[in-house]
Amino acid sequence: MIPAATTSPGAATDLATAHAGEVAEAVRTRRVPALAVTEACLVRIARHDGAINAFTDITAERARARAAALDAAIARGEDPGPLAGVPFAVKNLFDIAGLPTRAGSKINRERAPALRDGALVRRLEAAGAVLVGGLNMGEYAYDFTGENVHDGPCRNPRAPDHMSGGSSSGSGAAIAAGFVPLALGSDTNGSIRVPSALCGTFGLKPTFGRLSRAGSFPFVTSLDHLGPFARSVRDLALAYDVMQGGDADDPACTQRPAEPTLATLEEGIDGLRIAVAGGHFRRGGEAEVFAAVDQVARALGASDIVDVPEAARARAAAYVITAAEGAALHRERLLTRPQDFDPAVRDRLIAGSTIPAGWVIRAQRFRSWFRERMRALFTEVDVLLAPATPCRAPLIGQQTFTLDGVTLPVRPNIGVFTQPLSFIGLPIVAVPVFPDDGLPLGVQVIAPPWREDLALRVARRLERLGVASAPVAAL
Amino acid sequence: MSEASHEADPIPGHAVTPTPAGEVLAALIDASLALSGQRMDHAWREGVLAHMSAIAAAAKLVLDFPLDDEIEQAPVYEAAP
Repeated sequence: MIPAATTSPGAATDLATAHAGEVAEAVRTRRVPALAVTEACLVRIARHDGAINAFTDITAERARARAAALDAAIARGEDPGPLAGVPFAVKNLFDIAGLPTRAGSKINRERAPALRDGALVRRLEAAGAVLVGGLNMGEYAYDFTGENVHDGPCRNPRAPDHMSGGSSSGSGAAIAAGFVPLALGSDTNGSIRVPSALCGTFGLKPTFGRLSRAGSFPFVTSLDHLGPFARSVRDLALAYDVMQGGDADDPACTQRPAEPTLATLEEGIDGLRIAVAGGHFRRGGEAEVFAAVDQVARALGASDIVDVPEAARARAAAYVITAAEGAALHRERLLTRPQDFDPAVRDRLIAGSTIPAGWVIRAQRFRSWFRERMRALFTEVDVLLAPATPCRAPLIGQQTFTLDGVTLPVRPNIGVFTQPLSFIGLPIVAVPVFPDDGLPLGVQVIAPPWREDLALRVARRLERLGVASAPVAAL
Repeated sequence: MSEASHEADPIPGHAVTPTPAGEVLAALIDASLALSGQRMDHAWREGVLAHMSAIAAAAKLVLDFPLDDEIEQAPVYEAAP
C-alpha cells in the first residue's frame, strides 16, 4: 500500500518496494508523483547496490526527466498508461539509447552507443514505465551463475555470499532487493528461471517468438527468449501484456495477435489438469527441490506424475545447438581478441567452433520430434510442474556440487531442469518457494505454447495460497 | 568428472555412435582451429577439451536416437516474411 508522498524514510522505502500495479495506480490517481517513486528507487539503489552489484548503468537523469514528463502529462489530463511511473531496469543486453550494449562483456563496451532503446524497453516506456538502468549479467549470456569477471559478481540479495544465478543475474537480484518492481531479462536455456529461483522472484519466460527481440544483443537465436521479472504475478502479467504484439524489426516475433492475460488471472485452477513432470525432472537434484515441487502440487490438488519423453536428450540437443550457435555468433571476436573474453566463456566458445555440422542438424531435427511429443503430452495435461534448479543458490565461486552422489561442475549443470523445456519454447512461470528461513527454491509452472495465461493463473493461485511469494530481501 | 551430465537410455536396435576418445577430440579441435585460424593458447587447451568432451557426449545422445527421414529441422525458412 503506497501512502501519500511524505518525506519520511519509511514512506520512501514503501515507494521503492511497492509492486508495479500499486505504483501505477498511485501515480495515475495523482496520489504520488512519478518523480517521487523514481527518486525513492534511485535512493534505495544508491544505498544498497554496492553490496549486491545488480546494476552496471544507472540512467538517473533520463529517469528523472521521464518521470517529470509523466507527471506533467498527468497534470494535463492525459492517460499515462497502465504502468504509469513504474521504475524498471533491463539486463544490459537490451539496447539503451546512448549506451553501448555491453551484454556482460568487456569487448562490447567499445560498441557505438545504441541509437534507440530495444523494442520491449520502448513498449514499457510507452505504457508509462520509467527506465532507471542496465543490469549485470553473465558474459554474452553464456552463464548460469551470475559471476562476471569484468563487472564483478552479482550477489544474491537473500545471502550475498551466494550466487544470484544467471545469466539475468542483475534482473533477479534487482527485483529481490526491491530496487525496482519490474525488470527484463533473457532466457536461452534457463537465464530467467534460474535467477528467479535462486533469488526468490517470479519470472516469466514466454513462448518462443512471443515477445520481440529487436534491439537486444543475441546469444542463440534458435533459443533466445526475453521476459519479465517481478515480485507479484499480477505485475508479471501487467508487463507481459504491455509488451506483446508483432514487430517487423524481429523476423522471429510471432504475428499472432496479442493475448492479454491480466483479465483471466483470477480465474483460478478449476478444471485444469495439472501434473508433476517425472523421469528426468525427478532425479539429479537435492531432495528439497523435489519436495518444493511436491508442496506446490499438493497445494494445487495435483497428484499425477507424467513422464516427459526423452527430456535428457532434449537437454543434450539444446546443449549442442547452444554451443554451435554461440560460437558462430562470436567467431570474429574469438579470432581477433580471445584474450578479452571471460576465460570460462572463451573456452566453451572455442570448443563450440569445432562442432561438426551434422551434430547440429541432428539436434534441430530432434527438436521437431520432441516438439511433437510434447504437443501430444499437452493433450492429456494442461500444466506441468518441475523444479527450476537442482539446488539452492551455491556460494559465489563454487565450482562443483554433488547431486545424487555425482560430483559435477556447477556452471553448466544448474540448468539441467530448465534447458529441456526452453528447447521447444514452452511458456513457463518460475514461482519462488521458501521452504524455511533459508534460501528460496523455484518451481517451473509449464504450459503449452501460447498459453501463458494458464501458467500465470496457476502461479497466481499459488501466490494467493501463500505457497509462492517474493518478499523484498532484508538488506 | 564429466563437464556436464548427459545421460539417457539406449535405444534397442539403433546404431550407437562411438564415444570419441580424448585424443580423437583433441585432433578434431587442432584440425578445426588450424582451418579457422583460431588461436588457442596452450593454457586453454584443457578447458577447451573438457567442454568438447561434454558437447560430444551430448551429441552422442542425440545421434543415437532414431529419427524418421521425414522429420525436418525445426527452423523452417520462408522465402518472404
